[in-house]
Amino acid sequence: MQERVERMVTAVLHEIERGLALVRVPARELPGAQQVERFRSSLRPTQVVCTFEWPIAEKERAELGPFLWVKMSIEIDASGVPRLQGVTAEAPHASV
Amino acid sequence: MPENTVSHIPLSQLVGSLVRDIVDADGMAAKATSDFIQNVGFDEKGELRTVQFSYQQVVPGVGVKRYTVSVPLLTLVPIPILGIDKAEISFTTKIVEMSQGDSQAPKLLAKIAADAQSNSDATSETTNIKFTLTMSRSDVPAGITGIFGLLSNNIQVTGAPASGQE
Repeated sequence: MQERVERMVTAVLHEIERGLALVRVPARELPGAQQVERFRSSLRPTQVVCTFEWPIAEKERAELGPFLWVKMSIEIDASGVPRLQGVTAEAPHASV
Repeated sequence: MPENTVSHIPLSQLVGSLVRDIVDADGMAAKATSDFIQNVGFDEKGELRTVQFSYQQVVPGVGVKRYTVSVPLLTLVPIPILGIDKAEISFTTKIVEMSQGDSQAPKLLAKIAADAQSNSDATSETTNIKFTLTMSRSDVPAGITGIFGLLSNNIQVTGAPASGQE
């Protein structure tokens, strides 16, 4: 299960990076500019929080409950690159 | 946001388009301020709009003297400086497909969902994800600040022929 959660977290992180790249202006498109990308506005995304329910397999439900709450905290730097700050997982219906 | 208005698009496009809309809205707000200054402050010929009035004052030893005052209209009205200081976007997507792209990172296809709680039919690869994306105004890059300085240095006041002498 952990491997599949990690795969989803990685996928979400990359999708956010791809999405923000659509709004950035590559400096290399400007004559003489260095290879640095900047956001095209001083109004820029700074933080993303993603939460999702992760269904737990039948055999583990008695112990952990039906799902995990997974929360990702992401900071976005000035060039628009997301940096994962932390991932927490909580089983709100766990029996232990 | 109504459900099913967007279906099965790459999650990256969804994130990017929402951020782009906020940035575009900020640009439109700045344009509205610019338009206001242009329309209220200047006439069709580019001349400064002014409010003019005259009055008489008794000057000791001279007598009654007449004065004319001309005040730029822009200094008399509040200018709506519009802009977005902070924005927070919250939305929930349903992941409908996770595929291995050309690169190592899997790609996600998503559609807008009602909320993260209504996830009863979720499987490990079709879960609902709630996003809260915060945008803030950041410092202007040093290069742009330098350009502003150059532009400010180029503000010039030059003499023009008085009307009727052109």
